[in-house]
Amino acid sequence: MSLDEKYDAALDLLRRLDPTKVKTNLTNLINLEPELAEDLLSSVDSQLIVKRDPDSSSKEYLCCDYNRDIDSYRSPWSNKYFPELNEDDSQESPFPNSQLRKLEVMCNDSFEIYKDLYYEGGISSVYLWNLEDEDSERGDSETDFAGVILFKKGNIGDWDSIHVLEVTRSPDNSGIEGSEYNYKVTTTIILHLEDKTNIDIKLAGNLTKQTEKNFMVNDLTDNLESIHIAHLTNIGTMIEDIESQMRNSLETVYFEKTRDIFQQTRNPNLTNLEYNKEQHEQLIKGLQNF
Amino acid sequence: MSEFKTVIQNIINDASPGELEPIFNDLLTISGVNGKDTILNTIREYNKERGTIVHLNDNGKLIISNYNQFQNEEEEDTKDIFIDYNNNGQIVKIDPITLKGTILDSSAETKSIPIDTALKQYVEKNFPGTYSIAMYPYNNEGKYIIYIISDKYNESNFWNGQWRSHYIVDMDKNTVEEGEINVDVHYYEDGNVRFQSNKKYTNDLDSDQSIVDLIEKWETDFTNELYKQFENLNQKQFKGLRRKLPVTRSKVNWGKAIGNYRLGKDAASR
Repeated sequence: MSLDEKYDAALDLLRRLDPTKVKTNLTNLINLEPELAEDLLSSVDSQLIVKRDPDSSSKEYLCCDYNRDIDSYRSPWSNKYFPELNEDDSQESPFPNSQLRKLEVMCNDSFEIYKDLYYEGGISSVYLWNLEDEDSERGDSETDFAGVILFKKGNIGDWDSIHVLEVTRSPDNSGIEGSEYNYKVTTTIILHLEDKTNIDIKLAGNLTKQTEKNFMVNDLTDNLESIHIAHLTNIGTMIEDIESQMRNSLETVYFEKTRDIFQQTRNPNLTNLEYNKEQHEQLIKGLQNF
Repeated sequence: MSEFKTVIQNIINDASPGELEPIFNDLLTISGVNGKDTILNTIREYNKERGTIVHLNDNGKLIISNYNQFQNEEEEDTKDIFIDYNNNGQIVKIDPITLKGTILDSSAETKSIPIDTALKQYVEKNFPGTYSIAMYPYNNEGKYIIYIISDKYNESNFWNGQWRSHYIVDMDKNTVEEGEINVDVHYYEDGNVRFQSNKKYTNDLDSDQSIVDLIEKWETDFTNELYKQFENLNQKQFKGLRRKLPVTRSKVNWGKAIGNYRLGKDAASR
């Protein structure tokens, strides 16, 4: 079997196994085929890790594969990796360039406000990185970038939002008003709920959704801040809409679909209902024969 | 036990109901044909350990478990052969992956155990899925184990659901000693959502309720409690995670002005 086939099989398996044990299952699958490690770890979302930034009053930040280097994670607040990397390693650590870092700071600021308004608590972090020419055929490191927008809230129950973003300029669609930009967002929301009051019940898992939109951005100006504000507005509007739609989907799947499926396995009323329907039909038949 | 076997066991034990066949194929793709016997044996154990419905070639159903495995010194390979105690003790050979069975001998001389009519009626009334009920000898002291399993599988719409309960009963005294109920629901269109519920019961009060009455009581209580706690997950947990609308009750005003929210908040807290 080729590595590609094994990778597809691993993804299919992860969709069929207990979603609360994604990390254990990943370890198990990598144990079966160590060559899958890199691809699986970078493509399978699991619950976000929380760390504190010692250089920013121990403020909490969120960690995933996108802000990881070796065993350290970059903080969006101080733009440093913790635990600190030694000099040799840190020379090669990825950072957004200085212009993109400005947009990253702006995004962190705005999404923190968004988080307060919608989550009333929790943690947010945004990480951006430059898209190099060799990474993307149409990519232009001057204008294109990618990133990830993260939210986490947990007290009783856990919610993790992971939005992976890619922004690319379409050079063919530019004019006196600026250029058209394509925004691609892949969202995964991981939601775990559990209650052991009388019986044990666990309602857990994740839903994924892809969204793509084009917006015009006036990028003819020399004013970098105004270009950044345009991007932030487009990204912010998109994320707000996606999260609202996803919240509805989660509510439907978690609290209607799973209950409906349960009722297909055990339900005294359903069998009675069918029984009644049958009686009703017979009654009507009987009336028609009159 | 080899590490390979432990890993395979961990994975199989996490399987969603009704999805053994794709899981078997995926594991075979990843581990290669050398792992096939270990994977098959692990699936055999899993099927027996939890109790599993097998569809027979005469359209009947049989629950396979640790308590109805056919054993015969003359037969070389009996690991896929089971006794259908509740159906004249017929002997059935099953496929552990497709969960289909073929009747080998319909008039075997094993003892036949009839299932109580009241229990049958209770199950018929309460389980609209593909249900099956079984009663097998549990030990040498005259105890029996009762299985009630109800499956509803819908692969084409990406969901599967299962109810499983089992009880240890004393037929002479007509009482239940202990039992366990498991619910397992999987929804996997655009994601992977699992709803699992479980409770173990023991007859602490030494209730003299009949077998069927106590099973019905436990299962009704369980179902009522499940709906109640389920509703609490929605009202008390889910709704506390992310609001439908922001605190301000209108969509966020993105752009430069977003800082005003903070100014407002600071002003308010001053």
